[in-house]
This record gives sequence, C-alpha cells and structure tokens, in this order.
Amino acid sequence: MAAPQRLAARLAAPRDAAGLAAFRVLFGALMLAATLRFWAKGWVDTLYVEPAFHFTWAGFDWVRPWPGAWMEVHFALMALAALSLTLGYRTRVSAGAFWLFFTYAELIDKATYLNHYYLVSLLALLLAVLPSGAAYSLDARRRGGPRPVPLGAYALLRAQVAVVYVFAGLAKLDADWLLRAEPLHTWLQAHAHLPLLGPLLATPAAALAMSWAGALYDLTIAGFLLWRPSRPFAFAAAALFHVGIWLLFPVGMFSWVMLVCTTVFFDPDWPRRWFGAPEPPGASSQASPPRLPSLAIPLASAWLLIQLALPLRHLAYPGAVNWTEEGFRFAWRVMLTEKTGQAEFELRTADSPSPRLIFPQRDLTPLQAKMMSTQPDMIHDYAHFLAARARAEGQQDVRVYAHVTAALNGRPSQPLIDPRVDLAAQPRTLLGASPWILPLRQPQPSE
Amino acid sequence: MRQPAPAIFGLSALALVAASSVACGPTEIPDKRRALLESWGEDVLLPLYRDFEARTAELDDAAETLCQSLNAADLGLARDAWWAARAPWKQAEVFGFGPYSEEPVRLGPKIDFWPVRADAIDALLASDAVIDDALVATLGATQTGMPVIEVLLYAHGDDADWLAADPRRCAYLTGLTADLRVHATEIRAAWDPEAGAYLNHLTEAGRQDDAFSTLQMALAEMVGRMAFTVENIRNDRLGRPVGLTSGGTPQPAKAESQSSGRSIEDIRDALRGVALLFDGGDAPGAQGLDGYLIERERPFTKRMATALAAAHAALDAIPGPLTEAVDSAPESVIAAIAALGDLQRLIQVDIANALSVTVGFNDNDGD
Repeated sequence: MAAPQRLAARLAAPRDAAGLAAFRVLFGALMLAATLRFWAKGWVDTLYVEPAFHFTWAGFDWVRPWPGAWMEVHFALMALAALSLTLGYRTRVSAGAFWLFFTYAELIDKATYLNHYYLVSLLALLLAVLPSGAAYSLDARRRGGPRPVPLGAYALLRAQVAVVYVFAGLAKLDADWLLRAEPLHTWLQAHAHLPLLGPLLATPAAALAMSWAGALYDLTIAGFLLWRPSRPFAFAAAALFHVGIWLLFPVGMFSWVMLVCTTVFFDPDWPRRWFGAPEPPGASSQASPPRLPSLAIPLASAWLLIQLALPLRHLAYPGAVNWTEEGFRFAWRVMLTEKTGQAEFELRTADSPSPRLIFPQRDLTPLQAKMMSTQPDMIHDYAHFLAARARAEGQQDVRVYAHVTAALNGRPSQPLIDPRVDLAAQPRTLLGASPWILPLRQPQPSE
Repeated sequence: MRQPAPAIFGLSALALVAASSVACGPTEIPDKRRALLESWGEDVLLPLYRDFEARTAELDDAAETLCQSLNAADLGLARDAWWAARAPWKQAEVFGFGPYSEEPVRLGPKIDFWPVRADAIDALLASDAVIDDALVATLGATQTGMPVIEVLLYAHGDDADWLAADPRRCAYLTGLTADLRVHATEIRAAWDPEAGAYLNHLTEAGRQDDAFSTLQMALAEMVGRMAFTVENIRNDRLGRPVGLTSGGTPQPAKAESQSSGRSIEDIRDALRGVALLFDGGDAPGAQGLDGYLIERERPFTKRMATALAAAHAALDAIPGPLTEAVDSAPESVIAAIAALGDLQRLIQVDIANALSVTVGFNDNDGD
C-alpha cells in the first residue's frame, strides 16, 4: 500500500467518539456562557450598535451591524446555536450557525479582534464538518446510540491547537520577550501587592523566568499533552498556566478556551474513564470503520497549510512585526506587546487656507480610538473615512496626514506613521506592505 | 500504560489551588495604587472642591454687596471673587467625571457651560418672567453658572451702571451666585466619603465596586483623565477659537472666559490640576503619580517638568487675551497647541505604557 493510502487508512481508523463529543459539549457550553456574558455586559450595544464608524476588514466591507434591535436578535440566535451545539441537536448545522453568527459579529469591526475570537471561529468551523455529534448528543440518541469517529477528526483538532501553541511560542523567541522580559515585567509590577508571591512577581528576575517558562510552555505543551506518560503533568501545567493568566491579566475567556482545547490531546475515551461510564455498543474502536470522505484529506491538508502560512506571512514584510503589525493578526502573537499610542490627523483641502486638526476621539468609541492609535491599518482606514467625509461635504483635493506617536514595551515613544504621507492617497490593500509605517528605533534611556 | 484519571484530577486541582492562591490569599499587601488614589481624593480633589465651595460663598456674598451698593468698587470685588473661584474649579477639572458628567446630578454643565450664549442671557432679561432664586434654580445650563455670572460682571463696563439700570439684572446675578453656591456644595458632597461618596468608586476599586472592577482600571481612568484634560485644552479651548480644529477661521466667540480675559489662566489652572496629580501637591504625606513611577523604576520627573514648563512657556507667549490673539497672533496659539501636544503624548503614550494602563475602557480584551 502506498504512503497516501496508508495515511488515509490510518486517519480513517475508528476511535471512540467520547473525547470529540466532550470537546464539543465543553466548547459549546463555554460559547453559550461567553455569548450571554457579552450580552449582559452591554457590549452588543457599545461595540456594534453605538459606534458611528466601523473599522471594516478589506474584502468584508459589506459586513455591517444589523439595524435597530436586530444585533440583539443576532446574539440571541448565536446563544441558541451554542446551546444547540452543546446538546448535539443537528450538531453540524448548529456549529455552522454558531460559526456564522460569531464570525459575522467579529467581522464588523477590527477594533474587536482578539486572537482567541479567531480561534473560536476556526474551531466552530471545524466542528461544523467533524462528526462531533457522534456521542453525547441528541443526534446520537435519535440515531440509536454513539458511533465511532475517524482518528483524522482528532488529528485535525490536535493539529489546529498545536499550531496555536507552537506559533505563540515561536513569536516569543525575540529580544523583548527573552532578554528584556517585556511586557511581562511591566504587567507583573501591577501585582506587587498580591499575598505571598506579589513582591516576587514584581522583580525583573521573576519576569525573566516567567518569560522563558512561557515560551517553553507554548513550544512544548502540545507535545507533552500528546505523549501519554507526560500528559497528567502537562495538563496540570496547562491548568496552572491558564488559570494563572486569567487571574493576573484581563484576558477574558481566553484561558478557558485554551483549557478546553487541551482536552483534544487526551485519549479519545477519556470521558468514559474519568466518569467510569461503560463503553456502549457501537462506540468501540473495534466497530466497523467510518468512511472518510474523499475530499477530507485534501481539504484538511489545505486547511493546515493555510494555518501554517498565515502566522509566517509577517516574514514577507519589512520591519518588526510587533511594531508595524503587518502580519500580526491571525498569527497567534499573543501577549507580546504593551503598546500605547496617540493619534491625531491633519486634514487639508483646496477650500481651506489652513489645515484642520482632528482628534479621532470625537468620532470613535474609546475602544476604537485606543486600538486605532497603535495599529497602522486602522489609522489608514480612519484617514480614508475622514477623506470620504470631507469629499461628501463637497471639499476638493482632500489630503489626510496622520501624526501618530506610539510606545512599545517600555521604549520611549516614537513616530509610528510618516506624517509627510497623504494617507488618503494610499490604496487600501489586503496584503501589500505599507511604506508609510516608520521603522522601530532601538531602546533608549527614558531620562 | 494509561495514566489513571485521578492523577490528572489531582495534579490539576493542585495547580488550580496554587494559581488561585496568587489572588485570594488572606494577607494582602497594601497596594500603592490604592494609596495613590486615596491621596488624590483626600489631598487634591476634596481640598479643591472645599476651596471652590468657600470661594463661591464669598462670590455670593460679594454679589449681594454689589447689588446693594451698585458701585464700581464692589463690582471690582465681585469680579475678584469670581476670578478666585475659577482657580480651584479649573484645577479640579481633571476630575471631570462621575458627579461632574453623569446623570442624575451632572453638575459640570450647571456650573460651567461654555462658550456662553449671550442671546440666552438677553432673552431671559428681556422676558416677563419674575427673576428670583427660585426661577434661576430651574434654568438650563445656557442661562446659569459661572460663564453667565462672568458676562453680568465683566461684559458691561467697569462701573455698575449697567446693573443699576435694571433691577432684574441684579436679581439675576444674585440668583446665579446663590445657585452656584448650592451646586458647589453639591459637587463637593457628591465626592465626599461622608456624603455622596463617589470618591469611594476610586478608592475602593477592585473591592466589589461596580464602577472600577480593578485598581488598575481606576488608575487608568485617572491617567486617561490627565491626558484628556490636555487634549481638551488643545482641541476646545485653543483649537476652536484659533480655527485649527473648527474649519480654519478664527472664532473668538468660541473662547472660554472671554469677557473676563481669563481664558489662558483657566488653561493654566487646568494644567495645575494635572501637575497636582503628578507630583501630589503640598499636603503632608500627599502622594503623586511621580512617586509611584519612581517606585516602579520608571521615573518621569524630569520629562514631565520639562513638558509642563514648555506648555506654560508657550501659553505665556500668547500676547494679550486669547480672543484677540487668535486674530493677531494665531501662530502663538498654534505653538501652544503643539507644546501641549508634547505633554499629552508624554502622559498618554509614555507614562501609560510604563504603567500598562491602556486597558480599562471595557474588559472585552485579552489575546
């Protein structure tokens, strides 16, 4: 048998569906809680309904908030889809619906982008195609009981989660993280008051140790979770790591999403062994192997290639990615930057003898203004918005210049955008480099 | 061999307990951020609002005296009292949130709505309404507060003839100063821990407080307010009158405190408020952001002093009252906006970065 056939046969090998189903239940329940939390905190209004301007994604400018109360309905349907996914009712449709509602909301405004939201979108889409309803589901009950799933389903999920961890680890292999222990040192100083560990956490040595440990964790945790002898220790480390992060930093649901993801590395029958449930007839790996769709392996391969390419695309751009942010998103560059900025814009037109100074806070929400002040593509977007508004008011020869200062990981502030470039004249590109982003200078003493 | 489930449970539980102990231990070390917020409240905010309360009482008394004598000397004394009351009020502007801007009290516009609307004042004086304290207490922001008092005291000559010509004018003036006195007491009381206790939102942040769920958010709010105060000066108080942020044409009528010529001094006072938060002021034991940054080994003492001095020097370089300078020397006003920009960036970018206070508007955050 040739290698591709052997691989296909191996990936089609039947496995207990319990582990995959447990992941679905945990993920769905977490998403239900996250959606309700999002709603309860009033973020549907503050993030989607109230802003007069949205930072849309190139190619997705048509994605807009629904009018009136329909965004509330959107989130209600998202919660319903998460509940349905948890229960395993029409599992794939539910996962697909959740993915659609969730991703649509995330595509409305770049200011709301978070790495773990991107991960949620990816996982929801995977659940829409993987047989996660084969056990612990209303679907399985309706079909008369659980069925085995192909090993490939586990392999794909494991590869996806491993990509997240490994690229998060690779991104930490730079001087800021490993030599200056930034931004951890700055962040940990805010916790000097904590009992027992507080004073220790605030020291440079602790920040350095935690930086190295964090990088090592990210680079190795997937392997240690996969390797059965090390798995209990790896899971304990994961629990310590993610709960610790959740306690120390404002990371929202990130920790819980990642902890749920660690379960994909467990043996497929782990829920039965943990809870002592007997293996029901038909769930066994000895049952007849499920058929792997002919397109499964090519599609999964393409998926993984994209997942490998996206985090590496920053190598195609000049400059430090943490500063330019070209290739920063969709790349698992997590917890790498403490970045602050201040942006103001200069509008020049043929009709006005002198430039007009514009402070973006007048148009943007605090979150949008904060996110834009350090992210060049959002600065560019806002400049285009200002130009379009001026043209709509009948102004001619509209030019927009950005005066933006930013600071990265404790460095002294420095200009982020070339103030001599008319951003209104710069085309909006999906992948092209932006020569108007000024390079990061090396650290200098503060005083 | 497969690892038994209890081993995973046990190790994980141990890890969770260890992680939880980081935040939930019984012997919390005093947090310097809380001490800083407490000091800002007790040593800066409350003294400023108490001072404002006392000075508005003096203004009210001076207005009563003026309206009895209707002479130029008492008009001068009433003007002095108004000018003096502005100082603590503008210095406290960095605390322009909570009772200042939030309903139901929202005292900021009731005390200081500007630019003043002269037509609203004229309309009231020309109306048939009986002007007394009761009526003034019902008026909207455009017809009450310090800017309207300023117009009545400063916009009609240096003698008291204009006031004497129509008793409605003095009735309006004394009604306004009495109303201001009430609002000054209200805003002090709203912050005072012994009364409205809004200050507790800052000092009790992270302890079951609904306004700021963490101390870091409360600190972020205050650092953000320092930066916003400077931006507000650049955009509204200088940028709009000189036309830089309002379409290019100078608009003196957009200036603050234009009748009294206090526009630039108002700005200086607002900057003094920012400086008070940074250095802590003169009260014994008072703490400032400067000291906290030094403890974190991220000193900004010299850079802040340089930026503040440059901003004040640029304001000093604006000739005459702002309402005239925006036409006669607009470049000096634009230079001040630039100098204040350096100060804003120092606070909003460098100091905020050193303190990691960029997060705080909402916790839809993470990585």
